[in-house]
Amino acid sequence: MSLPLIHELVTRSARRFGDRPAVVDGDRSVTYSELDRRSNQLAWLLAARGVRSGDRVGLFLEKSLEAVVGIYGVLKAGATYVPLDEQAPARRLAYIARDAGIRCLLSSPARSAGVQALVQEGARFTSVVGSPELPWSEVEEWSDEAPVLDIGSDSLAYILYTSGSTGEPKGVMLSHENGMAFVDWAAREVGATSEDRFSSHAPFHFDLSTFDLYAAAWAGAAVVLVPRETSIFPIEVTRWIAEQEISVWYSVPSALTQLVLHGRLEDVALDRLRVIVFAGEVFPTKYLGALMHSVPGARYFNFYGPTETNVCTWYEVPGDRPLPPESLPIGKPLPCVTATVEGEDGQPVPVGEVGELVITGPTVMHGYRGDPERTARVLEVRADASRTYRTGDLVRVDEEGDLLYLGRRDAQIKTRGYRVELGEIEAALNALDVVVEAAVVAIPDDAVTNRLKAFVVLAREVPEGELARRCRERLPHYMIPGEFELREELPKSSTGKVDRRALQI
Amino acid sequence: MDSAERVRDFLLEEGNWQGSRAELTDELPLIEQHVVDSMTLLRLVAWLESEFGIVIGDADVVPGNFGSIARIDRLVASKLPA
Repeated sequence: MSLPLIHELVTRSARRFGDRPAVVDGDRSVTYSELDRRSNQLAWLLAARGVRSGDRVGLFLEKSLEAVVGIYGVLKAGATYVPLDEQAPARRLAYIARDAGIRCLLSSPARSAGVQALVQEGARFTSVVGSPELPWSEVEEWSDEAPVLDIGSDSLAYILYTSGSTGEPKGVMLSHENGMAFVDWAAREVGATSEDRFSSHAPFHFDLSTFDLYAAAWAGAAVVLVPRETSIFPIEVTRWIAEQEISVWYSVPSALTQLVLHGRLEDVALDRLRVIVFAGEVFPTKYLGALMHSVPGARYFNFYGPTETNVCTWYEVPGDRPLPPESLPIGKPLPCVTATVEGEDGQPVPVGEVGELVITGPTVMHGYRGDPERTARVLEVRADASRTYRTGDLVRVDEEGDLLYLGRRDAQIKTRGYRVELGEIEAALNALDVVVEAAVVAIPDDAVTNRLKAFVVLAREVPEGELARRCRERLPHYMIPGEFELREELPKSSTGKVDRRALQI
Repeated sequence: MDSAERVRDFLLEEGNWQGSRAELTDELPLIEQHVVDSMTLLRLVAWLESEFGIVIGDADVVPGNFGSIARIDRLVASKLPA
């Protein structure tokens, strides 16, 4: 049985649960019927503005009802949405807009200065929905009948940009099948029903959002958008979860750690919260244990998978025994996924030995946009059209058959769930005229997994804060080093490369 | 230097403000304008405690106290010994 296209989940739920809430955005909400009709209308508007099947449409607006209508409208036009992180510097987003070939942008009046900044950095748009020339209200003038599409499950649904090791972000191309293979499994595994209320905490440029939006749509459940202002304050988040009667939560572990440390979980009863899923970084056992103590009625899941494969392995935390002192396993592959552990020679290692995790299955991406060379280094497409991805993660299988994550092969690290190539930050620093040489190291940290520290050799003195300020012009906030240490020179190894280990002590 | 200026200095260095010092006014909505995110907030709270020798409880970490430099300044004043 083939899986539906992603937007067909909304149409299906509109037929079965038409009057049930689909998206809740503060005081505003829409039912499944309304979401289905409005996204149809947007699809017709986009087609009239020249958006064809396979075109990329940028999403540059705050997380809102319009953003969700936007996502489904783009999909129903047969096109591919590219979420732009509203917190990233204009220069980076303009690069992404050009790289992805975005001509049409979904935005909002609140972002008009941001759109101007993108144009100043070289982005060129033929249509901007949410601009004075093309307000969102025009969407209502279009037919709400379902458009007829000529796309299939291999057609791209979204492109998610992640950190690139040599300085520019990479666009991970993901199809309807990529999303649906994950969602169809995940929604069933957590037992999603139309009674559920899913939080939407992760931004839409993060692949965690595919669970929030699409597992909810699969079940006919509500997805309740966490207001940004709320999300910054842990005790506000705790109150919000209780008030909104959230039943399914998915986020990076550091967001949950903040609730444990500062969210006063003991002050509220989160009785409706029955599933807590986390992914994106290691969840230190001491904080997970405290969370499980505070919300004892919930099921806890660890999902693992790089953006290139979405979630490919999973582990449900057993409720009936103490947590392991080391980190949780990343568990076993999804039913549709095959995981192998390979040695340097590309052959499977003996069971139990360390190797690189290699994933094959329908959740594996179609490649990096515009970069066949980098794609070929990690992705193999076989004769039978199956796709295999080398994760660069080192793992081994334990006695219970669960995979354990051991670390990276390279200089990619996680901080607050964000994937960061240290090389990208170094490239940004080295590009500054005042920097002779720079190296960035990751300092392990319980709460956020890693903090970033830069060691810099300068050509001349600069005012305090100048380096951070210049980084902020090029890099998203989570890539700005928290500390800059000036050096006369950087320690080198015998091969002449920067000796990071010497910097780390 | 008065406390609001010290907070402004901190936010210029540690926050995500891409505008000028003059534009980072006492009343500018810090969260709406993306100056403060969850990471900056953590660092800000720790810095306020050490810089001013005050204690900020979890219940104080709410939008009402951190929505602007003026509000942060009022929070600091409320925590200082009389």
